[in-house]
Amino acid sequence: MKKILTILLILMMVTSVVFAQGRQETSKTATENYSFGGSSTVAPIANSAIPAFEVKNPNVKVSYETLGSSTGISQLLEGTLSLAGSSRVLKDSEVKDGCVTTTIALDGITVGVNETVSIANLSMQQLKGIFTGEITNWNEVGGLDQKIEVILRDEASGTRASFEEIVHNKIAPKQNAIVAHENGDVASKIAATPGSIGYIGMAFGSIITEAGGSLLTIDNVKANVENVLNNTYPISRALYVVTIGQPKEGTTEKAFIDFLLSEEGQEIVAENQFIRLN
Amino acid sequence: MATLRKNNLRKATESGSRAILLLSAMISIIAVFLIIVFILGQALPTLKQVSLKEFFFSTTWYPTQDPPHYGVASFIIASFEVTLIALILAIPVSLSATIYLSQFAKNKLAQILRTSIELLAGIPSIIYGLFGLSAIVPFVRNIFGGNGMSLLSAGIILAIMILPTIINLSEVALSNVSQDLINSSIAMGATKWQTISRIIIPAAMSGIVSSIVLGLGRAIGETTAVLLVGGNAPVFAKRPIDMGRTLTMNIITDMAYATDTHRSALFMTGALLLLVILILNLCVVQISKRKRLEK
Amino acid sequence: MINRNTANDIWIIVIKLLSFLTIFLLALILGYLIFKGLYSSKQTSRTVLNTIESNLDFEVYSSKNSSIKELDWFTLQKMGMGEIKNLRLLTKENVSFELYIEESQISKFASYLNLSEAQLRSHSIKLVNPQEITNYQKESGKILITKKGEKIPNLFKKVKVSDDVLVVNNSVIQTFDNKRITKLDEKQIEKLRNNEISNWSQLNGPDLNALYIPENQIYEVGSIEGSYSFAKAISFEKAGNLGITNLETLKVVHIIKGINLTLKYIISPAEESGKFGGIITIIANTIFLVILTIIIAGPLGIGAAIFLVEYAKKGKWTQFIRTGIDLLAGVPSIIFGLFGLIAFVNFLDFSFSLISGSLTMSLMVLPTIIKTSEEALKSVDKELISGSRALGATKIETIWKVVLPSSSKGILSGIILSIGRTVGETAALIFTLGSSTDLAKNIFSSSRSLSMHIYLIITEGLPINDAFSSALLLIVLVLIINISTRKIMEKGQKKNERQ
Repeated sequence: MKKILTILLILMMVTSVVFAQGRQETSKTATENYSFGGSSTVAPIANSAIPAFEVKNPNVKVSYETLGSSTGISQLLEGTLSLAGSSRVLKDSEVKDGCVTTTIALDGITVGVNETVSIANLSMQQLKGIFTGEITNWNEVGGLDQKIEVILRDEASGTRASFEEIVHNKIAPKQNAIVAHENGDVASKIAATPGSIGYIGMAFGSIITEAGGSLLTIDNVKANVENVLNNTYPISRALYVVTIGQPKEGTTEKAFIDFLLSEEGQEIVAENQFIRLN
Repeated sequence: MATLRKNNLRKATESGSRAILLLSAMISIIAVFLIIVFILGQALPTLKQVSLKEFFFSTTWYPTQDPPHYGVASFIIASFEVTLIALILAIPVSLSATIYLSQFAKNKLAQILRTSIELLAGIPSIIYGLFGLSAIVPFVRNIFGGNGMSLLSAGIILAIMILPTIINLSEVALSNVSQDLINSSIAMGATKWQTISRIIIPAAMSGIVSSIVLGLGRAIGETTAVLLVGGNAPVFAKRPIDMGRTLTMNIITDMAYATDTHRSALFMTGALLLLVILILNLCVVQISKRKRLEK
Repeated sequence: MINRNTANDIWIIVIKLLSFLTIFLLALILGYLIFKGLYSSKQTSRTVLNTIESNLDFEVYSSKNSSIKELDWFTLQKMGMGEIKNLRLLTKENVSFELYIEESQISKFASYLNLSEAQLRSHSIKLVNPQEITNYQKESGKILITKKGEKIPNLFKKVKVSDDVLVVNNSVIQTFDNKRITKLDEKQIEKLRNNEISNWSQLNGPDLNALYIPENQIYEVGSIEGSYSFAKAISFEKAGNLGITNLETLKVVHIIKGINLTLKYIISPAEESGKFGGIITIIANTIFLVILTIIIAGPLGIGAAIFLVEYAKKGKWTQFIRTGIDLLAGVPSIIFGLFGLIAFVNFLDFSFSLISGSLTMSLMVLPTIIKTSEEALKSVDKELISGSRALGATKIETIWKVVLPSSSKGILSGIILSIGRTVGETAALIFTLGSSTDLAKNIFSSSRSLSMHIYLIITEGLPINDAFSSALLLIVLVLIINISTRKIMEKGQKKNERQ
């Protein structure tokens, strides 16, 4: 009994020392914590940029929570986050509440299919038909007699909002569809579900091909950097960071945005397979 | 003089300690109370926008549409279906295991069985989900059709998860059956099976029912495992091999980004879930109380 | 009319079978997870074919602890051209890349890659003297090119280079009826090599005759529809450079096998939200969570149990408390998560943090601790207690000095069970703990536990092999916890029996 108590006591002391240390450090070097978050598409850029940014600004600790574009913006408005990542344009209500976007990269949305699907290309019309539920079997678009399994993102997703606006504006997407949580989850589900089709940020396209799926051409145009830049690929959008009001000079948020727009930041964008702004 | 002071100190420590211990004991009931209050508190604003009738009976859940719809009927039915499948699969297996353990308790195999049940109980739900996703979903897809992610897959995984719950409690019930009763049955020439099916099980029935009800409660409340294998389509699942969404899956999927009425609707779902489980648990308490009184 | 003895036998067999199903299920689940956790198999598609034997006239080595075992010609060319600065896209290591070439091999390497010597030298290639090789030690991220047969220290391992490709006329991969061939698997490649394919439709391709062209006439492939050739990647590139059009390569399925859960993975810190690195920071955070939860729930639970056993009178009030404990035990984990979100994260403003998570978990494990402690306290020898009271000790002194020590084993087992529960919990922690993979600095830091990490890997679409390796680790931890609980309980029982 005494042994157990002593062990517990030691554990408690160690724990409190460790934590006290943490707090001490915080006050000694005045480490400031910043919470950013939002789009899962912007996440790889943020997660790669943050370590580099922290090296340049040693008193700052930034975290980026992947919540989805909509959640990120609403948390920004609530004050939990000071910067949000978004892969869709702002809604009117968000603009009215004071949100302002800064473009940090361009991105295409590519469409992937499971390896059992023999189709290699779809027209925008066919794509719309599939995602709104009008077309339900692959043989309706020239493939095998196989049910089409549609994979969507959840409703916080900016990628989903952008895709729906471009492909089937105003018409509701198919309800009886598999809902995936993030870009990577879409890729896993496409790879694992026969007959499936889903959309994903272009930078994540390699996950689909690596897992055995394939990427479609839309209207016979391949989804790549060139075609997004010369506007021949129809499904593309910009990636943003969102702040309340224009980012103020001297704030860490502004410094981070400037970093993303700098040469080093844009290199990071390209390394993560997004499209640089310059 | 010193002794008197020391005695007073000891008495004070005595009553002080008693108070602290009482408080510790009260924490559970206070927590339950707070949970109900907080969840209901967040849930009630839903009623400003949505009628109770629409919430419980409409199968359309589309919170981001304009106008939004908040009907959880499909989820209620899905939770019910998944639990039913789980119980149908789990009850025969658990009862068999329980009977084996209580009636054939001596040999080594029974020991292995006991260990297996304990280990199964200890496996975290996320790992059941991972196993379900990579092994059960393709299995269901190949044998039953559909895309594998289905209420059926969810039911299968839940069945494995609630086995320990049902077995543990039923075993207690079976072992409490009076040995005299059993002996008289054997003395009258009944076969083992006849003794089990006609004497032991009926005598332990209330304990068995309690264990099943608790298993039911566990199945309804499970979230992560079903989330990964159920498909998560917010529609009415017509057949067990269709994708569906249970009440728990609905909460965890939308909670991250829901605001205002959408959020309260999710808390309403949670409140419903909580209510059902509290009622189930109270029933179990009642059953065991009555059993104790009978004795 | 079945003889009742036969019926008896049949039923007994049924019962035995179904009981053993339980054991079978456990074995199935554990075996599956152990297998997947240790052995990973990833299927991708790539341009180069799986070379059986490469006959280069130089050797390629990589750092011993790097995970590169094989390179394809195109990647090697990119390395030579200085286009690869970091290995993160090739492996899971976030290390910068350096190419070392032995002076005497430069011209051979350059011509192998279809580059000029000047091109090779102008990029950050480090020339190395074979004698100085021992200086470039264990650091990862190095590829070394040396003379064939050179003795290389044990700090490097040989790398296989695949440089064969399947060149086809572009009519073969064109889209027909919205379809096209995207890749072939090993069997199909075999068939092609063995001249078993006469028409591309046999491989799900277009209706074109498949015509084999030997490698030295590779330029013909550009002009004959349906033709193909097995050639070296460099021939393909040279043909392209000469302006031969309509030449394409057909991709091949490539299976990468490896060990999944490695010691290195366990002890490396997680980087970039789990995309690179290992899981030691997550394991540490889980330990912090457990310690904090036990500190909060332990005293509360044991205190409640003491009250129920030593002080409570039989009556409505006590029944009320017991019902409360039973109800708390039945609340589903997601409801705890929701409650934790409103009460700790929002209301008490602790935000997503260790403290929010452990407060939530404390509520969840409280019933377990109370129940097991109660059992342990009840089983204390009554004579010990009366003896103590007879000697003049107050109730609380008796409890502190006599009852608790002798029931410590049982109480401990309850605590260990709670640890198991905490480590395995997901739903309640998602809304309260946060999701950061960095080491928590204090109790207000966002963090994630091992179970949450597995959940987040699956939902964020990180490689599922990571999920399996973390799952294997988690299962091992949980099993250890389970086994130690049983051992402690057994010891406790034996002790009681002896008394």
